[in-house]
Amino acid sequence: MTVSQSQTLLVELSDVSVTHTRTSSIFRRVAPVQAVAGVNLRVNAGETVALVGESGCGKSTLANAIVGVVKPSGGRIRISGTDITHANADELRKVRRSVQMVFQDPYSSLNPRRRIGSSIAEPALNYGLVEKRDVAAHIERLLDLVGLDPSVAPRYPDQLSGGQLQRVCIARALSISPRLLICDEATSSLDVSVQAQILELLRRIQSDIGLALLVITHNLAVVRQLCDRTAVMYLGKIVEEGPTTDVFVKSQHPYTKCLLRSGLDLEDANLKGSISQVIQGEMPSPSTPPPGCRFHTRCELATENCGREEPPLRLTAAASERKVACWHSEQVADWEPGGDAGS
Amino acid sequence: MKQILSVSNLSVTVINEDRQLRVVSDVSFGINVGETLTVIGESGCGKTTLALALIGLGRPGSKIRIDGSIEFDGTTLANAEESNARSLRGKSIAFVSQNPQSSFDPIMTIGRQMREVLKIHTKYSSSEYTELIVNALQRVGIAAPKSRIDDYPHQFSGGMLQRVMLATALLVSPRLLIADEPTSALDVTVQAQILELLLSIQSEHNMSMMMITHDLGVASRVSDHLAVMYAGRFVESGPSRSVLTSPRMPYTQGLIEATPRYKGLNPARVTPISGAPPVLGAQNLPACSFYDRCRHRQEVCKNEVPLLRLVQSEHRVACHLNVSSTLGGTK
Repeated sequence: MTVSQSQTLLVELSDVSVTHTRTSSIFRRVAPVQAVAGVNLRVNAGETVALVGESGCGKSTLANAIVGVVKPSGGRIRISGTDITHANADELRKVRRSVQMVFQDPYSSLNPRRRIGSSIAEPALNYGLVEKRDVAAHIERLLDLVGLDPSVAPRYPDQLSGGQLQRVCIARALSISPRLLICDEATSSLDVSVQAQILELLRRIQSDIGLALLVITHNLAVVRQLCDRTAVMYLGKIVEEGPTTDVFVKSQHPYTKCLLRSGLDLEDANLKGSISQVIQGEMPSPSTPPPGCRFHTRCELATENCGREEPPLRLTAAASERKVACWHSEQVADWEPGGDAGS
Repeated sequence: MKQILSVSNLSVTVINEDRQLRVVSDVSFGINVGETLTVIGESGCGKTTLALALIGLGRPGSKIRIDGSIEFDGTTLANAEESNARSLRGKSIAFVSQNPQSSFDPIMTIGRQMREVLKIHTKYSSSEYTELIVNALQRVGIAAPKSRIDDYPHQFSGGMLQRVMLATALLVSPRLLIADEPTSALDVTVQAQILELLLSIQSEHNMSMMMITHDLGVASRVSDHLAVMYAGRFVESGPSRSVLTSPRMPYTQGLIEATPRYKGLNPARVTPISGAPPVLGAQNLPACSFYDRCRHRQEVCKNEVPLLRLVQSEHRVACHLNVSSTLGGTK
């Protein structure tokens, strides 16, 4: 699938696979785990894209591959046109400036012995983007951008709350003006009231400075609140992709529909017992994925063919780049998981 | 309706080496037989300390002092003799915590740990243990339970181990189950499975439950009654539906508006509550601990602690605001 490179294309993953191999211990051999299995994904400049899925689906591994922390075992990752899977150290350093990451736990992402201001300025100094004498102004501008008072600059991480620290992490990521910010469960460890603040902040920064966001999360509501496009992952593969509203309202993959029905949204709440347990069992181990469609072992719509032939991720609506990997996607719209009417 | 648990004016003070912290202040509530009370609140509000105090436990490494009264089915629990408390704990009252991995001994098979519970708390003969354990595991949906008795905790996934913990808690047919964030560490599909299981066991055995969570979506699905906790106090409580659809306390309303949603064509955007919850043990707090973050604060809120008062059938609010006219529900 070669799409002509538009000028706004920022990150392009082509057939990316990541296999974790652990050296066999003296006690036993450890089977290699294919955490990501042939993923294609594009993120345009200024776009907000979500990678959503349950634990073990490979979403964080994919994010780590984009920032170059893990090396793909196959496929290609291009950032602003540079192939980072085959780049040399100099090229890598240049490219990495344009991609920054914010993690789930702000406490462990910051050096506890380093002052907040120093942590924020470090990336910019490293890349030589600010002069020594301008550092204070740089810090102040970034703190202001993330809604923190300049007075926190001389403090240490243990003097700030979780929400404040996550703002600091965002400020540090923005220190070198990246074009893409990857948020790996960046709001998951925060309290509801504070999580909402960070969601608002990300939304504001994204639109103010035209930053692209790649949001990695298991939280469906965070996706719906923040992202234009959504890709749903299951066992190392993208099973459905498209504009967020389409994916949520007109799901084409049975797994997406099950995931959405399982979530306990407050919108249709207020009734004790209104839980739809629509999917049985748990995700199989990624070290031994089922043959054919990886979801067929838990899918109500599965036929014999699903266990033999793997459905490709195919385009269902060209204009909106709507994609699904299912042999029975046309049945999904009228199907209600779990037999009886769910919600 | 008969109450299984009745708590009045309960305060919990955590005593560390050099200081005392009042973590739970003046909390009163009851749980009806066969019903669920959910305590909702953000981290540090005292909800877990409250749950642990009910069974006479403190946080690891610290001592607690309990003031007020706790009555379980007519028996006084607060500051009871350790031997009395112990016979109730684990037998009539079971506890399920958020993190199953740290609730099991990693070097003991789950079968052996479950046998221990039966040995201490029941009168069954040891020849019956295996059958009881297999039945309990089966009930919580563990496939081929017989073959898993001799497995160690690390051989189970998070969701499966949470089921094993539930099975262990239910071995003794408790009359009250206290569940502290039982599904917070789980994926949504597994969460739905576990919650549905809890509810079916509850109705089967007329078991009462106290659920601790920060997730309003979860709370709305499992609760008959809701209590909203902030900085160690109950600030609003009542029938679940009433609290969620017509919240009277600005904090409750803020929580509902801050909860992100995803269903429907155009889900409402989140509205954050400004600021952060007060830090445990913070000094010189205003009388109403929500004062600093409140949209409707008045002079009186700074100086006078708002007491819980009845505003509607069973619905209580601790707020100085004459709320009914000023705040509407979310729907």
